Amino acid sequence: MDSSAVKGKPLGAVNQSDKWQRVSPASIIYFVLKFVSAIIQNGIQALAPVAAVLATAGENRWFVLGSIAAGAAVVLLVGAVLSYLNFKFRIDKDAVLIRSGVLKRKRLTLSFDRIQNVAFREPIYFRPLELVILTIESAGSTSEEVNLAGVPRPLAEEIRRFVLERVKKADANQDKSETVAEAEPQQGSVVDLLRLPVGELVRYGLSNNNVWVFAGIAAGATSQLDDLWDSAFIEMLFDMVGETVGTGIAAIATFAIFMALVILTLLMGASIIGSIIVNYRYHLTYHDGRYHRTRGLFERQETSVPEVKVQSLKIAQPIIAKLLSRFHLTFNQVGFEGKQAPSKKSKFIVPSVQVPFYESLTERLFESTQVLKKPLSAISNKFITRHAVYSFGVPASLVTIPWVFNFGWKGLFPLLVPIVALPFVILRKRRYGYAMDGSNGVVRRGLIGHTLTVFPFHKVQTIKISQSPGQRSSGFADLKVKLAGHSLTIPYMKLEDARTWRAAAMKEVRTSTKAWM
Amino acid sequence: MEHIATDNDIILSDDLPTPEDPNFESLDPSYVTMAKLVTAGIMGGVLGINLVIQYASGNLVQFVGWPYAWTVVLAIAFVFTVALSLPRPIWRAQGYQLRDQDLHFKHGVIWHNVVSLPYIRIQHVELESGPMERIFKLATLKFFTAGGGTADMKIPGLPFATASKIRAHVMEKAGVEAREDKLDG
Repeated sequence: MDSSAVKGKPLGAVNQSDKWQRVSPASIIYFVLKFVSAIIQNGIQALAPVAAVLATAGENRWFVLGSIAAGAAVVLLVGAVLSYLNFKFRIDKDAVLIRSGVLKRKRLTLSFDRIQNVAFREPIYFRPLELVILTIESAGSTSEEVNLAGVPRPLAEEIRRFVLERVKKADANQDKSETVAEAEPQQGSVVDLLRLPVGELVRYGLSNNNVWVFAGIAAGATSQLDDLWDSAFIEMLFDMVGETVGTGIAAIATFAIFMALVILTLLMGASIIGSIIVNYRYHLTYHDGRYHRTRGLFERQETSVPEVKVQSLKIAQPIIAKLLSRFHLTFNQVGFEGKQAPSKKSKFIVPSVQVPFYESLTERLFESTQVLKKPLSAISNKFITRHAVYSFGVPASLVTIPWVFNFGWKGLFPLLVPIVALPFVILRKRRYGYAMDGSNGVVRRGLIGHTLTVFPFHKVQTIKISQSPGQRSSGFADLKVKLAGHSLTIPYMKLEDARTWRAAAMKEVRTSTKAWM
Repeated sequence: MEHIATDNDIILSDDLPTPEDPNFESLDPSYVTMAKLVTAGIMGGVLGINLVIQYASGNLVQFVGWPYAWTVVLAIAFVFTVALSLPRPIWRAQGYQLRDQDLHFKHGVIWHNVVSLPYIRIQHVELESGPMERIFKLATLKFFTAGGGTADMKIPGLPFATASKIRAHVMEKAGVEAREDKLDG
């Protein structure tokens, strides 16, 4: 089906609800790539026999290798073609139906009332053909996510419009009261919110904490190479260093620092490149109750999130972002704690923005709340005492007692831990802050950088107030606010404040007519 | 202990009030007996298995002749006493409060916790009654919200009839509100 035909008969393609449709034959590429990545992710060990064959094949090695490769390619291609032939979808009046699978047939019915989101991805190999991957996310689990790969863009847009209209109707049927955010006056007009130039993406790459994630992966990878550390390679490296910079402690230290800087620079470079690849031509718009985001260099991604599904807004300023005076925003959506971390797709990040932007976005999201302009209340200094004593002091003392017996005065060393930790505990205490305006709350936390989380009280799921004996006598409490997907804890807030927050949340939940998801 | 400052009425307050807080209904007293039995059972089981092993390996005979054997016996008796004296204060610290629009549960002897849950946020309710609970005609109510996989609130030690009554009441409240307020759970 070519796109002009679809344009010619609007809604024709999606209205024929009794007909099963196929995606474009180009989706064979998608299936091949999917298989390859599945093999790489899950079954790289399965390639071991191949290696064994190669090792034993002797002179015929290249012939055997070629045969295996050719065989594998044929299997892959046949598999992909069969997958394409067996993949059919149908859009009913109240559900999206999918049939797929070659050996194991799978049928999936995704009813409109459970559809959370419809997103586009435009991989580089689909771009010349103007095809996209349409992803339908359900409110349930990730296993119920549907990918329609190789759908002509106009048809995809039509499906999205159609599905979203149905979703809205499904919602409207459940909701007979008047104020749903989707029915706001902005209907129709697209609001252009943000476009990010490459400069901002570089800032994001520098200041998001991905550098440390990369560092962790790199460290993990190198520590796997036990042989490397034992090997002559390291000795050789040391010799080489010795020859070039001298054997003095100062020279070695300088070299080590230099190397660390080089590694850090490389990691930063990787982070910046990653940021540009993912976020290239980042464009955020608001339309008809939804935030739309388009981004990506090789693969254009289009994601949208309905504003009613946003449970809270996270405004993060990690340490380097502080120097660049930028903030990274995350729309926290409905998710489940405990199970695997939400997929990257569900993380709706708005990178590298400044104060006026996040202030206006917060107002747009949460009914022009001014809660961010309120002064934050601090938590009690007893937080410091508690953690210095109970989190660090007591364990350190417990360790010290046997150590002193064993190592003499050197056993007192663990007692330094609380002293070293103290400044961090103090910093942490200072970062904590909270404010509310009756219908929205904001919580700040962090160590050196900080994170502000803004949430509307009417989306609260449960509230817990806890008091230790010390807190009871001094009139403080820990407040834990549970939202759909994540929770926020304010330690050592004034008991009366905690109760005010609880009362406000209970009242908002009770009286609010707005949808929370 | 405390008064929750919202303005809806307390309902269903026909059970025993705890001495500390007349606003919270306490759990069934037989829950204490059950908890004591379970504790005693577990500890007795561990002790019994140990005795059998020691007897089989011939250590028990030596132990009887050992001069400090009585201290061990005393220590075991002490641990039993402490363990068996715990369920009552734990029970006294627990309590629930059903109100027109929300539900509260307090627990914790040393750390006092109060969990508050509005009815309209409840996704589903589970009524559980294990073998021991069935002997005592007790049940545990578990309330789930969209917040996560585990129960957000767990009220143990409810007489079976009360538990069913609360469950029906809460589900009605949650259900009615759900249709009015666009909850699809």
